[in-house]
This record gives sequence, structure tokens and C-alpha cells, in this order.
Amino acid sequence: MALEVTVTNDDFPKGFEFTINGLGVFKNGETREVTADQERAFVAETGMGVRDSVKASEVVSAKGTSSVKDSPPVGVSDTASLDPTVENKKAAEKAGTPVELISVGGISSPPDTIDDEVAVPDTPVVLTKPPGEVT
Amino acid sequence: MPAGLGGSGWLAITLETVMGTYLPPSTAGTLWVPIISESLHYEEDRYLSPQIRQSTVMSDAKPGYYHVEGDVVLEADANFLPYFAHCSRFAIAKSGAGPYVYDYTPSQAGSASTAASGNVARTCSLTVVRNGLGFGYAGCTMGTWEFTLDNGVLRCSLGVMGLSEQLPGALGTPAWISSGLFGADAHSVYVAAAAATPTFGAADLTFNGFTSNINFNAAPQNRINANRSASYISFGETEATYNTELDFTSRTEYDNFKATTRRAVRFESVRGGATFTLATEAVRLDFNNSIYESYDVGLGGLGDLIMATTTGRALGIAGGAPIQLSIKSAANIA
Repeated sequence: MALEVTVTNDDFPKGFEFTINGLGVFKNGETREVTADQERAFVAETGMGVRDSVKASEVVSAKGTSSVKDSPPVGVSDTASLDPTVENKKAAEKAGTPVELISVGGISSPPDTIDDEVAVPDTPVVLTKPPGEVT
Repeated sequence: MPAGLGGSGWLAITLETVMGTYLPPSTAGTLWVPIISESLHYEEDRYLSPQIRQSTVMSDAKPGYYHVEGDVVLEADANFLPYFAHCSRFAIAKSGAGPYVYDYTPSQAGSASTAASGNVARTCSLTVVRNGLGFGYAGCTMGTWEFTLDNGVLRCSLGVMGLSEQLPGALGTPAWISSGLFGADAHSVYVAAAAATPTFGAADLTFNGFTSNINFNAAPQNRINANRSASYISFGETEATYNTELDFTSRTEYDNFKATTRRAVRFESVRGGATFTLATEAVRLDFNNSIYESYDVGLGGLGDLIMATTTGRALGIAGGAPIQLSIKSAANIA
């Protein structure tokens, strides 16, 4: 079943029109199917999928199958970060995309928390002058 | 997060069932209100310690009692005004079968209160989203009202006072009602003799602008209860005033000013019909018994219209209400 959205506000008459940005106009108490384009417009507007947005709401409800993959909330990624920090190394290994802690030149600080499971890099850290620096 | 614009935000109102218990906008009955601006904020009496410690600088700070307050400015819309009017110091009478007429008259309540339902004084939870981040304000009541015309459109400014700030959980999905503005063709002003129920005749066509103010003198009250938020919002004297400007064509009202003659003044805005009775949406503010507090007329300049600038104040009246705010709306608040 395609995604269907219902707006319900008992203070207003049945059929009273409410607008949800991206999804269009809904008549109070009536259920309407939303198109893929409308769903995409909603995600672009809010950064959230329709079902994620309405799941706790008693005013707007949705049922059926979305035709657009729900976008994750803004600021959160499904993919583990590849930044070479200890916590991201654990998350990346869990996700099957292992990250090596490497020295990129300059000063490298040890992790804030000591963890026996963290592999200490074999390559010693060497302080080097940035190119072009005048001593 | 990048910087955001005000236009991306929103404000929602939810009538509370328990005063001060915040209801998020995912709650049934929540209404998203298109506003012009808001300035709701956390207001605290923070304690600074003046301990003498070989230093002339305050040495410590301790969180103190707080409440929330601020202004909400909106274009007057009959769909939304009843919700705010329910959350103020008014006695409420409801009639009609759709559209409904809500008559609000000042009550003698000493403080804000709410009920689980019904057309009685309520408090509300206001939720504001600013740059995608939610702010919840609980136990809110409208301590001041101002109606004015802005380029012919009726605007309402509300002075909000509330008990506490809360962090909203679910923000819900905003569902907007189409605007129903009262434009330049909607307004009329009437003047008559004061009475509990004045008899207004034809509209007075000499008025150039009208601003009315209702002030319930609301104040937050903090009590000793191991909680920094306000315990309740108290009310004081009800002050209802108006100020306006009109063409000076007769000294009748000027003489009424000098004689402290009681006058009734009505400011009415209608949509969907020529009169309040025929309209589908309407706002009417009646000063049933008022006096002019000032009435200034002068020769401004060679080419200036001769205008009277006047202010008025409502007085109590036996068997009636000093002022009455009537709103005709499709909203059926139960």
C-alpha cells in the first residue's frame, strides 16, 4: 500500500483544510495518498522522512509503504566516520570498514582513554617541520 | 549547524490539561500558528554572591527563581485567536453551531488556571522551533493584548507569561491552516452612549487608525517548593485603553471628553459577510463604558488636516462588562 497521511484536529470541522509543507493540502479527518515527489519535497524541506516525522504525532499520522527511502535525521550518518580516532575506529570496524590509526606528520596525541583493545601503531611518531618553515 | 532564518521556524499552541505540565506539539489538538515574531525567553533572578574574599569581584553565582515571558505578534486570525483568548484572564461564553462565537469578558481571577477541558480559563504550552531546535514553554497565559492596524491589516500582540521552560521531545509535523487576514476592507468603528449593552448605530467614518490595549498586570509568583520555576501567574488590575486619531469635524466628542461623559466604542473586523452576524470570521472589541482621557486638537500646519488625537479608558458598569472581546471562528474548542 502506498504511503497515506491523515491530519486530524477535532477542534475543526471535517474537511477543513490543513497544509503540510512538501506534502500538500489535507482535509481534516480524511486520508490521502502522497506521491513520491511529495515525499521527496517533504524530506528536502524537513530533513526527515514522513514516517519518522509523524511517528509520535497525534495530529498527523501515516500508514503504508514509503516510495522514498527515509532520510536519516540531519547531522547523523548511516556510515561510520573514517576520521582516524579511537572511537571511530571501533565503529568503523563494526561496520566492516576498518580504519588504521596513522601518523600524518606533526604531533599526534594518544587517545584520551586507554583501551587495551586499541592497537597502538607500530610506526613511531616523528616530529617534522612543515615545509617552508624558516628557523 | 549553519545559521538559520526566522522564516524556517514555527510556533505551536497546545491547551494544557494540568497547569504547567508541558504538552509537546505531537499532542492531539495542537495548532500551528503563523506568527510575525516572537520573543519568548527564560527570565531568571540569578544570585551573585558578594562574599568578601580579598577581591572586589562577585565570587559565586547560584541559579535563582525563573519564569518565561515574551511577546508573540501575529496577524489577527479568527482560527487562532480563541486559543490565546482562552489562555488569559477572561470569562468565556460560547454560542453558535459553527461558526462559533466566543465572548470574552474580564474576570476577577487572581491567577491563571486551567482545566482538563471546557470553555473555562486555560493555560497553554507554547513550542517554538528556532533553527531546527525546539523550545517548550509551559503554563503560559496572555497577560497583555494589543490590537492595532498595520497597513490596514489587523494585528495582535500578546504579552505571554509562563511558568517554566521545557525541552520538547517529539516536535510533531506542522500542519498549517490557510491565513484568514482582516484587511483594509474589514474594519469599522462605532461610537454610542455607554450602556451594559450599547446600541450602536452607523459606523463612524472619521477614524484614522485604532489601537486598543488590555493589561491584566500579570506577574510570576515563585514559592518555596524546591523548584526554581514559577508556581503560578498572578493577575492585578485590569486596564483597558485605546488610542486613535480621527478627523475633527464636530466638537461633540470633545465636549464629552471635558464633561467626562461615558461613551461606548466598538472596533469590529469581519470576513465573509458585511456584518458580525453574517460574517464567517470576525473580531470585535467593545468598550461598553469608557471615558476620554485625552482629546487633543490643533492646527498642525498650513497644509495639515485638522485631526483629533484621543485616548480612552474602560470603566466598570453595573450589570455588564467594561469590555468584551468577541471572536467568531470555525474552531470548536471543547
